[in-house]
Amino acid sequence: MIKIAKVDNFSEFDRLKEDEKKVLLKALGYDINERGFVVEEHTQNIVWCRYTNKPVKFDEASILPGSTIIINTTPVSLSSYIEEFLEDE
Amino acid sequence: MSDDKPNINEVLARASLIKFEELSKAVLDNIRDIWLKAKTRSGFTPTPEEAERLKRIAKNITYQSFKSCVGSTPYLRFIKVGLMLYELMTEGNLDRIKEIKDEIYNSKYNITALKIIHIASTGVLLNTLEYLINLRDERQLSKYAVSLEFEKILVLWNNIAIPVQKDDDWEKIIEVIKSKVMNNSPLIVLYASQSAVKVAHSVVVEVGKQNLCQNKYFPWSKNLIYKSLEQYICIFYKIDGDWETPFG
Repeated sequence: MIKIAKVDNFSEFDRLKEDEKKVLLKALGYDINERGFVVEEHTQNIVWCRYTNKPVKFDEASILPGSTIIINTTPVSLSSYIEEFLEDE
Repeated sequence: MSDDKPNINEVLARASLIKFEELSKAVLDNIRDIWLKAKTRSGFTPTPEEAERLKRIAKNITYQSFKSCVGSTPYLRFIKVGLMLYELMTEGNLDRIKEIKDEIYNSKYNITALKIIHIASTGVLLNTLEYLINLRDERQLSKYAVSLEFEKILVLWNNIAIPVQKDDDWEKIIEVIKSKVMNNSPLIVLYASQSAVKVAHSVVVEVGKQNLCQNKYFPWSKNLIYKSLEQYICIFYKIDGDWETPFG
């Protein structure tokens, strides 16, 4: 797993409308395939969640602050993300 | 200092009005730039309320102290989720609790994770963490030793835990404790919530009067009010416990 720096100046978690989420994913270099999974735009490879080790589904995707990290959304994956990027050491 | 970059929500809202296929590279590059360079950063998730709740739980003093006791371990994430499940229980959100538990049980996490979720549902997870923090301070345990002690509690939980209900006969609980002492149980964990706390207190007093610990166990107890619910735990731990010291 790639080690990435902690997130500074985090404000809050928020919800995005479906259209807005598609636009942000596109801007970050992702597409959505016909089965509803997030894929890398250039390779069309499915994106895998670093915490659940499962393919990331568009409906369940969280897009995390100030990065291009996309994860599946479960309490455990969010808890893992918070621990890795938002909690103090 | 104000952020001179436009707000990402406003930019996305405007961009989403453009036909998706017609979004220009310049627009997309601008969005990416704003997202990556914003001075204050948001995260987007389908469950922002739960993410915020987990973030708040991560600031709990007991959780933070425990984290400093054990360092980074794979089970901290389950502790936060366990505490969240307990909060949802106090709020009566049983449907969501079932969804989350189903997801966890279906994800094939190891037994440690499942035990944490189970103990959290009893309401005494924070008390248990406090016990470990106290033990670390009292015995000057290493991070590794605290981790081992926590794992020991998780593994042995079904054998060492004695839940007390408000209608329980305290004499029967005393008999259970006697049998655990006889069997040389490494720990004995008595716990109760709300109206059962008084019964548990009476049991602990009686354990002292009858000297049931036989100079083999120390009692450590804690009353805790979390989310307006009173929780009590008394852990009897071995005086001659074989913990690893910082030098061990």
